[in-house]
Amino acid sequence: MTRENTQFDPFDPMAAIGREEESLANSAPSVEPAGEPADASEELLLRLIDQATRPPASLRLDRGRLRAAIAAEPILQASRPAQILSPFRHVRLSRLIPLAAAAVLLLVASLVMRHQFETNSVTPSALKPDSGSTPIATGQPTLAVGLSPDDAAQLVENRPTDLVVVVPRLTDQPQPTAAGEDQGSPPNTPVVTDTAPLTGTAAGDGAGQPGDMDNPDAVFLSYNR
Amino acid sequence: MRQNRDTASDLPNLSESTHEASGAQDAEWVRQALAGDRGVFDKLVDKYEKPALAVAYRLLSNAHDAQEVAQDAMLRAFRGLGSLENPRIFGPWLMRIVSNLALNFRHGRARRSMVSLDEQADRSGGEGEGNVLGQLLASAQQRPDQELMTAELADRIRKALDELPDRQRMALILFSIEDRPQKEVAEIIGCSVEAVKWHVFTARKKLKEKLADLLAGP
Repeated sequence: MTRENTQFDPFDPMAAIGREEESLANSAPSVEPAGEPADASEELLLRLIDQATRPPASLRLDRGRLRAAIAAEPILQASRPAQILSPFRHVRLSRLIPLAAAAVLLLVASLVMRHQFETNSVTPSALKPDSGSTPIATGQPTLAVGLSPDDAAQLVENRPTDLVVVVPRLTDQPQPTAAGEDQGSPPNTPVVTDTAPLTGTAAGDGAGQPGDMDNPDAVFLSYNR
Repeated sequence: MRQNRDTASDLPNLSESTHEASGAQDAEWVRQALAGDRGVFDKLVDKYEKPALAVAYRLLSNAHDAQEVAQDAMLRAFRGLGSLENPRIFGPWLMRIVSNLALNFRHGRARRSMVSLDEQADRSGGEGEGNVLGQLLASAQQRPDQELMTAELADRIRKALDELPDRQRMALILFSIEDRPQKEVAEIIGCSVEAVKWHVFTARKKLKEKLADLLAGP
């Protein structure tokens, strides 16, 4: 039986060669006869084949046509080291597709998260009726950033059933809290006020009532400077 | 033919160095062509025009078809220079393109042609053929340098060649007739060196059987 290393594809005239075994660059013409030693009849057979299939001496390429065809070809890719690129070309393509898909997913996810955050975040301008800002969503936890105590109080009052976390506006001057001055805390340390009645989650639990520290969801953050 | 190559290749080092030098020269021309010098491709065409035409003709037995195939192979080789993994093997690579295109052309022609070599051979065959061939053979043995061929004899030999499987025919022509190295033939056909030996051996055996009356002498 013969052992063949590659599949011969007569329909692929450009099939690459030199991929396996040793390179042809170092192969000298073999002196090893193929098959049986040549005898007189074999010599005659080969001579007959040679003469029966010998091309006419006048057979030539049409060099003018060939030059014209080559001149019409686009510029060759001179900088492309084919023997280096070709083994990796398919790998790169196969990696590119999942990477691109992952990038698109990440982008979509980040856009959705940003939209959610913006929807549920409240800025002072969002409280103004004609501000044109994104309407405040209800029914979800809300982060209110930079509100004045009055605005925060209004927000909590309007949303008695939602969890609302209020981060007051940072200004040069300390913002007074409902509990008054809190000079003992270190700078920029969020503290939970003991008197601020700004949040409430249980319907009808007296949200907005001063001193409502029994409600575990009632949180008011302020920064001491 | 192979016998001449066997005699000539008694100096393997010389052959090897010549082969390597040829490959290095090809690689340099390929590099220059890839760098934008289209004119240098002419040198590659000059070098491989005859071998390409010979292989194409021996596989197709038609001058016009062989010219078309060789021309197309040269153009494809130019287009594919960038994909050539090892520029030193431009020659074998081109021969593979030529061989594969010739085989494709043969298959297409076989489908198109209504008159086969079979029929031609049947028409040319006759009762007196043995005598004619015997005379030709006797004449050849007396004058080995003289051409043996008549159109009838050539048709019969080509018919016998055509009946061989593609790989066997290509191996025989490339190795035994065109004197290509076994490794190169293996790369062109896409098989191992051992398979090339087997294909050549089998092809010779079949041809000797088919042309036994020719080879047995008068």
